Formats: sequence, structure tokens, C-alpha cells
Amino acid sequence: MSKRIVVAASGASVAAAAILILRNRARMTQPEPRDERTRWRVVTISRPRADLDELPAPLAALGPYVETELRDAPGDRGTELRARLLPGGTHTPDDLRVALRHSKQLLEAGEVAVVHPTPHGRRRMTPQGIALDVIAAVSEGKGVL
Amino acid sequence: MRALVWNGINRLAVESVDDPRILNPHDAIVRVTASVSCGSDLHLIGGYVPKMRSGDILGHEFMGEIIEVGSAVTERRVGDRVVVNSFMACGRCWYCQQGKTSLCDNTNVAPALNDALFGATLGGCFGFGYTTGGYAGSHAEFVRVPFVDIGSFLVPEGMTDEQAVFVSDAVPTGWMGAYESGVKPGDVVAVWGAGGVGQMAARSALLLGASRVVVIDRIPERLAQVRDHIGAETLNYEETDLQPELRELSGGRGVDVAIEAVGLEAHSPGLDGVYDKLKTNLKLATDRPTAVRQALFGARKGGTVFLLGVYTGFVDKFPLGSMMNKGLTIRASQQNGHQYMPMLLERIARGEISTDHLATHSMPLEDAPRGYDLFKHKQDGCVRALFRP
Repeated sequence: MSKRIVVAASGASVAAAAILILRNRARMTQPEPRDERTRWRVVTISRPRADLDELPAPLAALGPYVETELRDAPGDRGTELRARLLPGGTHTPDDLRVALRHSKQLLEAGEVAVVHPTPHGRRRMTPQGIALDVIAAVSEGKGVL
Repeated sequence: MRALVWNGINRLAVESVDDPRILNPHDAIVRVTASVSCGSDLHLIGGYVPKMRSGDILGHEFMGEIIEVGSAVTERRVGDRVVVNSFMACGRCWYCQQGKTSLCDNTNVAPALNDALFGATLGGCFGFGYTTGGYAGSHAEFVRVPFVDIGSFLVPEGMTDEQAVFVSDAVPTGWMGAYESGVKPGDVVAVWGAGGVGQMAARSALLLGASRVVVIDRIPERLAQVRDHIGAETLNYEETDLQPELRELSGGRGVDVAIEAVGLEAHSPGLDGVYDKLKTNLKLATDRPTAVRQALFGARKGGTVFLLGVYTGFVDKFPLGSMMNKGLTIRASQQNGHQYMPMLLERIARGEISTDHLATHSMPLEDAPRGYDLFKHKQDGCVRALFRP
């Protein structure tokens, strides 16, 4: 075996080993994939926990297949309102996100923000306009939460 | 009612639209008496920010008279003459309580778009497209004002519309830039952009005790306003080598505070300007950070840079090395002006801040497309166009 082949084989072995080590380390350090449907979703309400005795109406409206939990937020930031969907219900993560956001708005601001009906001029059916309409229609149930 | 609407890139028209109505208990309806053009509108009109729907009503810097209030409004009544902050704030969430009203948690119904673009949702704003909630703007006869108790301020007796209307946005934005940069007596301050916001930032820096304030632009009429109404020095960047000039006027140190009030459509005569424009024209970048780069380079070691100009997405050639190696403090924000507006109205009433000179062109709302044309192309010395519905 020539010296060049030995060097090449050694290099390939080192590279393969490095890949295996990195892959194993990645497996060891990466958490198991979480169930996106049932994971906890959290908003912080800028009010003390004592003010949140009753389940806010938007969350109560989702029925029994939602689990909720309250925790004191650190740094006097109020109360963390946590909620997750339980197996068996028909509600979606979008429904839960909307309910949490509306609960926060009601508890803090006393009303849920609304835009429509809003005055506007003639709407043209452009690709950008259609895309914005679609995004706007689903936006409250999406986003990072 | 009549309103100025966006009909596509660089296409504006005044159309008949439905009147707004009260939708929530903290709302009011305001009859608009004055509404002004703003440089950030140009980003929307020019299609740099793909968040506008044809038919959207523009305008966010305005004042008027309250003609109707919702059932939960306690601080305002029909007949009040008010100037309204361009951002909506609930006044109760953690951000509002910290004075960061542009970050209000409860006034924006478009979290998906915001979270995708910015990683979080900012507050609602009048007439600024879907990322700020899709609310109708103020270039109209009437506008719905959510949380009017928090966002509107009584205009002092004797103050004209031309003086008061800029307290809606330009004045508190400029004050915020200078004040939150920590400008202190003896500082040398440079402001990029001699538009309404830049002028107000410069005046604020002087009021806070800066020893020298220089405003950088290329439009002679605007630079003349800075000298005549603001009391600051000026530099025309097309007629001088900017960075050595800044070193010279700051004793060789660089400026203590650099305030950028230009935004994503920045212009530069140099190669960097050509490069930035090419990238945005080819849609390879959303914003042109030309003035931001200059501000970072112009700031002294350990200095502060405040970004007041509006940026919406991603930029190229951001001088991260300058920021890190010079130990700069970088600050940026949309306008958190609610906390400053009463004080600023008092300062205007006392003659400490001149604002009415900004309204170089006053016209009926029906002429608003012409007003924006003058404003966009900086023709006829236009600094701001003021519309009277």
C-alpha cells in the first residue's frame, strides 16, 4: 500500500469517525420532538395572580379539553397563564392561541382589539392583496406562541 | 367620507369610503383637522414594504376634534381638541407601563406577520399596513381612535394646528432619540436627515444641553430650516467628506451620539449608495442601511447610535465590526412618545421648540396626491405636506 493511499484512508477514517461522533452527540443533546398540538402555550398577564381567579371567558369557551395553570411571573411582571390542549378535544392550536391572546387583552386592556369593519377604498384583486387577505384572516391564530 | 387611499405602488387617490364607527368601548371618533405626510409613508407608497392592501387609507400623524366616544372612555369628551399619538397603546400591559408604548401587547391583531418578520409583535399604528394591525389611517375626514384616553392629548389654548400636529409623531420621535441616547451637557451630537424627525432630534439634543449639534443632509432648503429654526449646524454630505468633517467638529474624537433619522430609502453619492440601491432594486435586500453605516463610523469609541429611521427587514453590509470593536451602544425604536407628549406640548407653547415651519405646504385633502408628489421628490422646498380634510 503506498504512502498516499494510507494517508487518504486514514483521513477518511478520521472524517467518518468525526461525523459519527457529532451525529451521536447531536442525538444525545437534542430533546425528543414535542407534540406541537398538546404542548404548553403561555402568555404573561400584567396583573397579580389574585385577579385571575376565574378562567377567562375565551379559554372557558374551549370547553373541558384544555388544561390551564397559573404561575407568578418573575420580576413583578404579573402572572403567567399557561394552557394546553388535552387529547380528545376538537380544538386546534390556532384556537388556543386566539383564546390566550384574547384572554390577555380582556384581562389587561378590558377589550379585544378589532379592526374590521374598517373604512377602505376600492380593493383590487392583486397577488399581494390576496396573500395579505389570507394572512390577515388566519393571523390571530398563528405566530410564535 | 373622503380619504386618501393607496392604489398600488406610487399610485394614490382620494376616494369616497365608509365612515368609521365605534367598535370597542375605549374608542373615539375624531374629526381630523390636520394630518401630515411622513417620510415613513414613502416606504409604503413605494412598495418597499409589502404589507399594504390596495384601498388602504394612509396617514398616522394627525390631530382633530372628538365627535363621539365609546362607553368606557373617561378622560375625553365630545368637543375636545386633541393631538393623537400615531401608535396605539392600551396603557395597561407591561410594555405600556415601562413607557414602551410602541410595543403594546394589546393593539395589534396581526401576530403572524410580525412574528415572522420581527420575532415579536409590535403595537398598532394608524395607516401603516398590516404589520401594525391594518388600521385605517388619518388622511381622511374621520378616524377611529382606539384607547383614546391613553393616546390623545389636549391641545393647549392658542396653539395652532400647524404647531400641534407634529406632536403626534415627529416631535416625540426626535425627543426620544436624543433623550434615550443619553445626550448630556457637553456632548457633540450628529443627526442624519434634516426632515421633520431629524430636526426635532437636533432641537431636543440642544435642549438637553449638547454643546454642538450638526445635522447632515443634502437638501438646501431643509438645511436652511435647521440653521434658521433649530439652531443647529449643518453639513451637506454632497459637498464635503463627511467622516473627516465629523472628526474635526468633535475635536478628533468622533461624535458622542449619532442619531439616524433617514430610514430604509437612504441616499448616498458614493459607491456604497450605488451598491445599496442595486441590492434593493433587485430585491436582494429590503432596506438601504447607508446612513446607519455612516452613523456607526461617525460615532466616537464607546459612543451611542440611535436608529430613528424606519427599517422593515434585512440589510447587507452592516458594520458589525465597527459596532463591536468600538464598543458602541446601539439603540433603536419606533415612537414611544405618549410619555413625552404633554411635556413637549408645553415646550412648544413656551417657544422652546418650533414646529410650524415644517408644514411647508398646506392643502385640502383632495390635493393630497399632489402633496405626496411634492414631498417624495422634495420639490418646491417641501419638508412636510399638511392636509386639511
